[in-house]
Amino acid sequence: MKKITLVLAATIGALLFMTTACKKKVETETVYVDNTPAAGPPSLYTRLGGIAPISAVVDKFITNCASNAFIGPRFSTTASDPYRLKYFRYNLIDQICAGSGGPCQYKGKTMLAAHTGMSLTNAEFDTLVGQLVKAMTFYNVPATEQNDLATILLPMRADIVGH
Amino acid sequence: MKKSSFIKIGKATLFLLSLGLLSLTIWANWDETTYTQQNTQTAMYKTYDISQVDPNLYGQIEQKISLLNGVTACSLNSVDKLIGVMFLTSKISDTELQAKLKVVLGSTISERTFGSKTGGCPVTGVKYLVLHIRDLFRFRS
Repeated sequence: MKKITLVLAATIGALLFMTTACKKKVETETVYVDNTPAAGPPSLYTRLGGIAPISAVVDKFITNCASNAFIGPRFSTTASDPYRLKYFRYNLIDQICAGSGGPCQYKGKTMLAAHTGMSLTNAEFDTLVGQLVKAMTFYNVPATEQNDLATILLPMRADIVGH
Repeated sequence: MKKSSFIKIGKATLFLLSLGLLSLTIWANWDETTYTQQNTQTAMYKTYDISQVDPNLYGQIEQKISLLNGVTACSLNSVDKLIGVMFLTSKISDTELQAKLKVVLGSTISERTFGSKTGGCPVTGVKYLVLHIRDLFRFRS
């Protein structure tokens, strides 16, 4: 029994070391490099200003949606629960950040899987898009960047509506 | 049953429990903290009824409240007379926010909620539970 305990303790110790110490090393080595060629135009992520402006737009977008009488009830459970809101917010930021060429990685569900069972209508989706445009306009995001972001997000309609 | 058997069973149970706890800890700490998690703070959202507020102030409400320390976003719904506010829990508490809103709006406000709609939450119950357990055992920052 003592031998087994010792072997187990050593294995667990090694695993803990691998998950904490080793990965932390990788973390410190991870530096964001804009994958846009040096001579080419900057990525949408760079043009939007990085993670902080994206986060500000996402927060404004969520408050716009949650306070809207038409689509607000769809968001009330998520928005009123700090824990759900935390992951919903992370997912939205990750999605825009990753889609615009930033260093984030979207780890949430696919749009189809996330919205199946919600029976969302085109009118609700259009209202949602309107709230995003309103949020970007509030923070003076230029029309070019707004259109570029819309080009990334609008094709998701097929996976979001009617499931 | 002999005393030695009890001790053996007790040891085995303790061993399995420790193994379970350590497995949970390893699983919870396996993933790196994401770039977004490293660069954004935890926020909270509240909806407030502003039916007592002078409608002449509506034009400035969003800007004024958005400028409050700790507030990350504010949206006005003038038709339903309510505001939605998102704020950083590390910088301002719910009570402090309400007190500041009363000063800015010059009137009493109360919390308000929309009724939730079926199928309205993309973060489902199972996912919610898994995330809660993971965060409970997570110490990586």
